[in-house]
Amino acid sequence: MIDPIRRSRLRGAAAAEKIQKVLEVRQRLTSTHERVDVFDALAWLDVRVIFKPLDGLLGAYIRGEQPGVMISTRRPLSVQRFTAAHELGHAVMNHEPSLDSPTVLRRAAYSQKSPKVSGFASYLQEIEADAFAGTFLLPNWLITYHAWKHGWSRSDLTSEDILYQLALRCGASYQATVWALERNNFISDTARTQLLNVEPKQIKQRIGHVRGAAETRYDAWVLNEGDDKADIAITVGDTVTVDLSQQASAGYLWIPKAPTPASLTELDSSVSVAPDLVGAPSTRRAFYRADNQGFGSLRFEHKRQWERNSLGEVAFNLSIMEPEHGLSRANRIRQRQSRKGVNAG
Amino acid sequence: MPNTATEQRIAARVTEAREYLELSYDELAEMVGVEASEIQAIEAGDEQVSAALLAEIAKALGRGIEFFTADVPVQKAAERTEFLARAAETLSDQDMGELQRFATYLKSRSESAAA
Repeated sequence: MIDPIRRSRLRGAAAAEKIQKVLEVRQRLTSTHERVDVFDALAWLDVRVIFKPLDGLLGAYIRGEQPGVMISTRRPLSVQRFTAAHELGHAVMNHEPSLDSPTVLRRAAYSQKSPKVSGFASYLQEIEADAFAGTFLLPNWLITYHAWKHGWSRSDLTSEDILYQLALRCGASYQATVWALERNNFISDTARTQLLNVEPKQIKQRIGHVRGAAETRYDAWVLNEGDDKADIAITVGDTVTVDLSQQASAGYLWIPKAPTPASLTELDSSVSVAPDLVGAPSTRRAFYRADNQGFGSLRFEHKRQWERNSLGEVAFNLSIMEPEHGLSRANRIRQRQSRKGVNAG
Repeated sequence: MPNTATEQRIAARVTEAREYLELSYDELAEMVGVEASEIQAIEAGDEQVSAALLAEIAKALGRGIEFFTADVPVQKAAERTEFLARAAETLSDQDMGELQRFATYLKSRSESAAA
């Protein structure tokens, strides 16, 4: 007999795959910042999502004729997205608020270490919702997509630095990404344990985050050729390091092709060469901080300064957003569109 | 012309409902198809709102019409709020308050959908 916890995990994952198909999540990936747009999924289901400052709660799902999801503003985006996906799981699997008393609040999976016998059915619902969230935000194909774009091999995925960058691109937390990699057999359980011993703030410090920022919720993006032409969503306060490898010995350098967008501030720029290798490629590094909401592209071309034509170009299209508050952006957009739909018809 | 008590009440409730969702004048105006200055005038009590526009505003803000027009505030919050919560620690008074406000909002919303 299959054990109930395993069965709940399978049920949650299956429900997530079904919803992804219905919403054509995979086909629309490049128009959703190359990650799964969980807030739009909720808006599409006509679930109102609201962001409010909550102390202990990560979020809540209120069932009823008009269902709603509340998300805490006091958490990083990756946690907000996971919470939203978890609540979406409750919504699509039509979970009962509580089996014993309708007003009882049920704790998150995080704090459910030893479920009471009476609460076992609701404990299983939480397992289902977590499995739903993991599969919904970090499906196998999304991990493969980003790994392929960056040329990351299976063994690269045991590197904490690469994993952190993968997590950012998927819009998931570092920890959730580690678990997803193990679940999809990209890494072993030993590698998972090692990776979970590392804290993202250590990784951020190593990248060279702004002083003090590694301790905060701000993320540290490292962009390279693998991100060319991608439309990337970052948050105000995040830092961006552009890391491009150049054929300096042959006279090729990466040169900015456009001025730095107004919402970004360039903090530093440097070129580093591997010390012992004559003729080795050097790395051009430029470091920015996202200061204001807005859109902008960082463009570079790889060329000899005395030549007209370039060897190659890259463009990183950045959507810099403020953290959400109040009614979700996705709900606001749908509300405006429904008005326009009325007028057009 | 002096404002009637009803107009003042509508003005205050539009502000309350808009601020709960943290929408700007511009955003609400775009959702209902008027100029932001018109929303401002309505909320200031300087302009009378037509029944048709109030219905649009109610829809955008997700409230029943009674929310804006009833003389007692609609505080009959869901007595039996059914919700699932994802908690990291314990539930504070602040969190309980936010949950109750949200439940009330959703309830008002379902009344507007039924209307």
